Amino acid sequence: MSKVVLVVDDSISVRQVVSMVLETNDYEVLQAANGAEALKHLNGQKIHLIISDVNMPVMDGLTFVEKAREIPDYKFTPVLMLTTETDNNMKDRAKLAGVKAWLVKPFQPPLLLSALSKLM
Amino acid sequence: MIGPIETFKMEANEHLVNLEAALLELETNPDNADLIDTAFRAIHTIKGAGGMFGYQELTNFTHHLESVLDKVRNNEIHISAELIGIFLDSGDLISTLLDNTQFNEDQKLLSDALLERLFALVPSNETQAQNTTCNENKKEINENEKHFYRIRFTPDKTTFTTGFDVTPILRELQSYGDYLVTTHISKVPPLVEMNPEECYLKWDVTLVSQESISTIEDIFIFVQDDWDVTVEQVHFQDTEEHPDRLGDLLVSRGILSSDDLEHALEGKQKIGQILSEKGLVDNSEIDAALNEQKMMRQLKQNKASDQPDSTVKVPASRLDKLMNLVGELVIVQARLNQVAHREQIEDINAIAEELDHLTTQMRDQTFSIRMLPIGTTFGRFRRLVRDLSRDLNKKIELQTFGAETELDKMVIDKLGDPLVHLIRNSIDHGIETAAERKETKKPAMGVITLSAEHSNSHVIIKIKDDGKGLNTQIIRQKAIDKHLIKPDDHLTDEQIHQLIFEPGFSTAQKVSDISGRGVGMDVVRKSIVELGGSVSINSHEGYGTEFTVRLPMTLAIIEGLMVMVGDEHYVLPLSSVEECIEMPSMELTQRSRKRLVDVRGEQIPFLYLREWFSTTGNPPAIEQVVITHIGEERFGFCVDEVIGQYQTVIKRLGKLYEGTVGFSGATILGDGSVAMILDPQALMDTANNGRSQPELRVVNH
Amino acid sequence: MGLVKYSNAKKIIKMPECFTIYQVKDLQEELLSFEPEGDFIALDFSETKEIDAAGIQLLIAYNQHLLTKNHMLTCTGFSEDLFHLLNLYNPPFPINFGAA
Repeated sequence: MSKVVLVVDDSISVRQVVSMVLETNDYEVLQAANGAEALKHLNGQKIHLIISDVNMPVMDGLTFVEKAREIPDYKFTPVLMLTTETDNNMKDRAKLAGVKAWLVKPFQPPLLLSALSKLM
Repeated sequence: MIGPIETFKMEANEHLVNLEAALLELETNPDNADLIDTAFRAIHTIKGAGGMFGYQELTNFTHHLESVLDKVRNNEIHISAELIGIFLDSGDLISTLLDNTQFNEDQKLLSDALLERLFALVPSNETQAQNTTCNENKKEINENEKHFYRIRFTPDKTTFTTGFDVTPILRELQSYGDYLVTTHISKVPPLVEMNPEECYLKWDVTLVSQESISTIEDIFIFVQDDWDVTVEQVHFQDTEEHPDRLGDLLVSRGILSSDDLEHALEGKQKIGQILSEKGLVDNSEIDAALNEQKMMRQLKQNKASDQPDSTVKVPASRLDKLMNLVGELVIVQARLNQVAHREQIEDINAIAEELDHLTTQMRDQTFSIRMLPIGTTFGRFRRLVRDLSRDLNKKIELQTFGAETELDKMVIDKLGDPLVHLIRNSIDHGIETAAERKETKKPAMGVITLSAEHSNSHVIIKIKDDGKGLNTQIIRQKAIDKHLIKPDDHLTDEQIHQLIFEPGFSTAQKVSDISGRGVGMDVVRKSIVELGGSVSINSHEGYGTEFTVRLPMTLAIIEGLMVMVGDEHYVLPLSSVEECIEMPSMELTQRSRKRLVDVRGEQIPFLYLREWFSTTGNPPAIEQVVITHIGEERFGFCVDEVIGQYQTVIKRLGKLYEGTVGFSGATILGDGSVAMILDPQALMDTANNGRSQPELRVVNH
Repeated sequence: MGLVKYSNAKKIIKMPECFTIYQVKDLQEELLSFEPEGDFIALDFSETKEIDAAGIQLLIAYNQHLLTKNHMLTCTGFSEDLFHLLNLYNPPFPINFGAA
């Protein structure tokens, strides 16, 4: 049973490369272009990990995570923020929403995989 | 389907168009937040995605653009015509940069010029801001080197609710090498009261791995701010002896007899020189042996750096079995020695001697398997000192000596808590605050010294502080209040200090969180005594306090003194025996429970074991008293006969004997019968208190 | 309630598919509601596919709870994967894999 990862990023290329890395390593990938789209995936299905960008149109990553935490099925789902954002206020807000993992773009695929192995 | 890189280029170009449009509109409408946001996101995405496809220079360039736009977004700086100009030029440059991952010369010059214009306008407040949170190429694996790590971590309470599981951490640790884990459960509240979504556990992991310490630390990269994590590397010294000494080599090569070697060694020049001068050994033989010595040392060096091969994980039960067998072997050996001695047959004597040599080596080797350097626990104490001194607002430095001193693993495990308590005591009651120290002209930084050393078959551990020392008056008053002593008792300062080990004694005015915890020094003494050791205190008011803990190196074998009472054999630990004297017959006329024997003018209390064990039959005409020292005290045991020194393997007593006082274990004798091992401390305490002693039958002599 | 099935005859309690942070609150209540009979109680994990640190912590607490009542916790039926996972923790109660 492969693990399911939801990838939320407004950049198609980022989604594409992240998906590629994950799928070749036996993860199942769901994609969304922003927070609002991502919320639609949270329909009760099992999701083992959420990888999300911060800066996105329509709904940003932090708002998305805060909303996800209100849904019982996803209130403890581990979240990895994958972003160029290094602002500490953002990090503090993320921490409040229960986000421990923060990975700064750009990333190398091995680095992403090693980050995932620390989360699930 | 087109590849991700093509997608990226298309996407980037799209963003550049958006950027340009937004910039142009900002020229007329400089405060439109949406436009600023669009521009920011365009640069942000190009930067983020670019790095993944190897556009390193592009990423660096856009990083600076992004920082400036971020400041605009946060109203730290305002849009100006010049700024928009720079961004428009940058957009043009970026569109030419997408064709190649590397800049060419022209592009490099252009980007530098743009950044120069940008920094002239908005000074960069960061030097080179490539914040990568994970360190990638840190793995400097030295193929041949294994490191010994001690890793401890306490997750924060909210760990589980933030979706952070501990399993991946443990799994990753395990994947790095030989892994031993302890899950500490002491903080887990009762099931009824606990909030199961909170984390109450903590972990200790021992890891032998080739990975560098930074790799291990990286495992905790996401939680280092929230969890309490320590990763320590433990360094072992090469404690192996020197079986490669030249003299020994010559003996093992059959060139020299060990007697000749010993004679030769009586002078202390270089051994090779002596031997050739005395004509005992040919020069060429020495040269050959020296070559062998060189080879051996080289090999050993290789082996030392080639340790992966030398680690074997063995179930503890097998090791215990081996220990038991060696124990039995030692007993049989002792019996053989007795027989050989009695029969006086030269051949048997020679065999017994040789076998004895082997048995001793085998015993030492086997026991060394369980030996660990005490330094493995020092890290924990360093942590303790750091945390507590911070809590108490004191400045304390912990100095440690003799970390390489080896001790039975079982002893080390059980020693942790008592030592923690003694160190806590020094921190809490010993070392003064910086202000108090200043008044007494001591340096602000207090020092606690923790040292370990071998002394015969014992290990001496000392915990010393340069604090205020014990207040004899307060202790004395307290002891009087607690009816431990009478007001008119005349005690030396030293005797008074020992009182802190008495049950129910605590000088702290209120139970502090630090050394309080409802555990007193009596518990410390009790647990050390259970390990066959003793603890004493030495203190000078104003100068500090020193605790000395004496422990046997191993719990399994003791050097004993065998004695007889009636038909039964008993063993007293030789380490506490001082001397044996004949019992002057007149002493027996005293019928009181606590008797005294006169040893060169000193009155020493003793226990009449015949009476204690309700032994029937008549005592011999001359009885013996074995004088032992227990801590600072001396105490005697009156026995029928002293048989002699006896090396013995302790068998722990089963649950059935838990309530009995005065035995620390039993041993099986050569003939299969059992001898009890006496516990002098417990016997003395019981005799002194006169309690929990069985009804005694008065025996007539 | 209803996450676990209780078989009175064998004193074996079947554990649910997931034994994680999402379930621990309910599981805590349910485990507390069983009064163990005889001298041991066995939890059957043969249907369990997922267990995390929060689940293991709950088992540890349950084991402590039973110990105060002079009972012992036995866990059986772990899949090989879960067995290895549990061994990462070296938990202070016996674990068996294979059939209960």
